[in-house]
Amino acid sequence: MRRRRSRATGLMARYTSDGGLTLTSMMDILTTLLFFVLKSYVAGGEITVPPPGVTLPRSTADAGMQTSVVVAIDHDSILLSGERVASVKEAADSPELLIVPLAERLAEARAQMDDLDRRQGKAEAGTRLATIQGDTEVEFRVLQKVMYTLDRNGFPDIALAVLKKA
Amino acid sequence: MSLRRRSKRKSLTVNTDLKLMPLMNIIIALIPMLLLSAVFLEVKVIETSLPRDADASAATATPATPPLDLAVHVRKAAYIVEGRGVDPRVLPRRGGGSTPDSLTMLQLTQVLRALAATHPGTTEVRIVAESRTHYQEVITLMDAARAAGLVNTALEGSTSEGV
Repeated sequence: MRRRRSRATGLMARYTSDGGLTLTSMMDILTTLLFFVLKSYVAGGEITVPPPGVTLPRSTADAGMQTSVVVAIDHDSILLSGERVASVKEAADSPELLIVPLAERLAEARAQMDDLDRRQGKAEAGTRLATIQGDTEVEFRVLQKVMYTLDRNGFPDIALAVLKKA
Repeated sequence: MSLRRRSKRKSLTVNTDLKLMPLMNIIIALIPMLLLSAVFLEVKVIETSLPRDADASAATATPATPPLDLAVHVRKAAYIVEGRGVDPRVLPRRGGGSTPDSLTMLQLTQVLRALAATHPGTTEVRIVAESRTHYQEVITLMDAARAAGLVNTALEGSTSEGV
């Protein structure tokens, strides 16, 4: 009788825990997930994240992105590197192809890039790349004016940002 | 004597378990924040340009055969494919929405591929869009041209609209 009781006590002692959670395996999962999310977040820098309100068109294109000046066009505004420089309505209604406020800001950006190249001892680039992040609903006349303004201000190589079709 | 030694040993026992709860709290807060702000869609680019001056390119190199000068004109009711020495091909638009339907795009790809096959080496095409053509439509047309092997696409505004 006593032996049976002591055996039961021993079994109970073996299966009884102190009540603490074993968090190590969960930590492993969460750490892996954190690294995955961080990697996908910082993979492409500024260009991969279109500004809020811009729905990029879908395409079968598969060319990768390069570091460049980014011009975004949403329903209301034209943005250069995330900063509003002109209104879409004004640009659309203007009889001129050149969007003056955008041209001024592009000239500044171009001068800064040339200055940086000089300081770093690089040869001055003849042409520079610009990327357009346009909303699907943007009218062609606005896109054309933005492209013309880029072309006139030393950015003749233009890349159109799209979302890859599944 | 033995009692005192036992109590001393008990007081020196250190809990070696890691305190993971603060780290867990940080990670659990970080993951939803990053998941909400991250973009999982793959962003790609299409390289393009404005059409260059024809005279400037002609001055640098004069080819033996004149270039095809292929162009896809976007109209309200149809797409018109034109080229030098080629009869214009009219492809009626279906649906009438801002996004072209897949059947029309397939037809356009076939027409462009056939024209490119008759003029080997042709890789250029102009997309001549109307002022109110939507950006998505322009991109879809560029996709159709690229599928036909015309990888160099230039965008141009139409001078005659509403036809």
